[in-house]
Amino acid sequence: MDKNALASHRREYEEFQRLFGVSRAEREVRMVELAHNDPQLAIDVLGLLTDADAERAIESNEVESANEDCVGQLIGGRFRLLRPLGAGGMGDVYLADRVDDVHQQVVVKIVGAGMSLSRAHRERQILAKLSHPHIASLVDTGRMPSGQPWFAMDYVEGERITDWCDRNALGLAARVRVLAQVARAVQFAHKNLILHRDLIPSNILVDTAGTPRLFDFGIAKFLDATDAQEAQTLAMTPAYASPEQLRGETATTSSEAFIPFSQPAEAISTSNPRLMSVAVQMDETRTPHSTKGNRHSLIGLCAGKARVCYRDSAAELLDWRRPSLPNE
Amino acid sequence: MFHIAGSMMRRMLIDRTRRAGSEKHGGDQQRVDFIEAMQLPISGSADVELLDTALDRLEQIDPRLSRVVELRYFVGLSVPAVAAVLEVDKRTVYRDWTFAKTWLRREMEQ
Repeated sequence: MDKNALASHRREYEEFQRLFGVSRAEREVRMVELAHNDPQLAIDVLGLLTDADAERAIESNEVESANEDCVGQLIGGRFRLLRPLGAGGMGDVYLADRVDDVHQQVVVKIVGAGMSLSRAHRERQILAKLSHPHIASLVDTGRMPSGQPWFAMDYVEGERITDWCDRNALGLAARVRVLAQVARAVQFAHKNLILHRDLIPSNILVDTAGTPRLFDFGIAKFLDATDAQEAQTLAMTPAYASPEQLRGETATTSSEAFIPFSQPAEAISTSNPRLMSVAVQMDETRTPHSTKGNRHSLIGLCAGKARVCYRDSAAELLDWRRPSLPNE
Repeated sequence: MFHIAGSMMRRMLIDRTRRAGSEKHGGDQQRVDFIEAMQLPISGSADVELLDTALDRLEQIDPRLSRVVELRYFVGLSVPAVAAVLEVDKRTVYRDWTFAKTWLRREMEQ
């Protein structure tokens, strides 16, 4: 970037910092001044501020934008859509009332048009196979008149595991106990050769009884699928991905055993010490002396508050006796 | 440590995307999936090289801007957590974050 361009970008940033949080009136006064001295800068800064405002407006409206039109519609002859819950990666999500004999509230997910049918079919198979107290179960599936597949799942009134831990001001031991329940559910899924592949706090809700429940096996795949390309599907959340996933290698049950560790780490401290273990893990793979044995060894990192480690499977995680956890 | 984690994640993800893009079969599709998974404020078809260059430019404007992007996007920290790591006010992080997103999008659209 040449000097002049850099200087003008810096001025943009300077003006943006100055005008971002101020009142409209104050902004206008400054814009008039800018327009007089440096019209191009005024146009650029105004453009950035307008976009930034628009973005804020979108952020605060995100839930409403999940297709209001469908509200009131009857799905599969027995689920009445009540209100949008949001637009997920797979499509729109609604809260719905079951209107046949059974009184039940469910989450109905209508898969987007761009979604491949095979993937949707797979999700259906996966969900049907999983029945576990800590996994939100599939109630029914079907197809919209338009051909879009839909899924009805248990509705759980709850909050993100991390928020729940914070709100209840749980101590470290209590957080680890909640996490052990999650690990058990993950282990159950692994025994069924099912990977969740996107285990993040927003996919783990704790209900009003304090029971954690895993949600959204949207990008799950069967472990016995042989298509290597498919096994590398890159849909994941980088911050929570295991080292294997980040390196673009095939996800395995041990990649997922890594993931629960992100939970206590994040729940304990907002400084997310798990990331340090990611960095260490990556370093380790670069050392020529690295052996498979190393991977089994516990990488304990004391990041002030939390201890983070990596084990080979969810089962091992459950067996793992914490040597010593600080602040207990 | 977090600064290193942030830039390492960035390097890795960009390299990975670059590799995916160069693969003969389905490379494009993977790249699109990947950019979407990164939830960047850019369209899935955007060029990852452009993104990398744009991030370098952002760094030149003010190093804190690229730190915020790395910690927020690539490490996944929340705004308050980024503020704690960088030892600045939350409002500063939010403002930098908004500027970076908007600026990056404009850069990538050119």
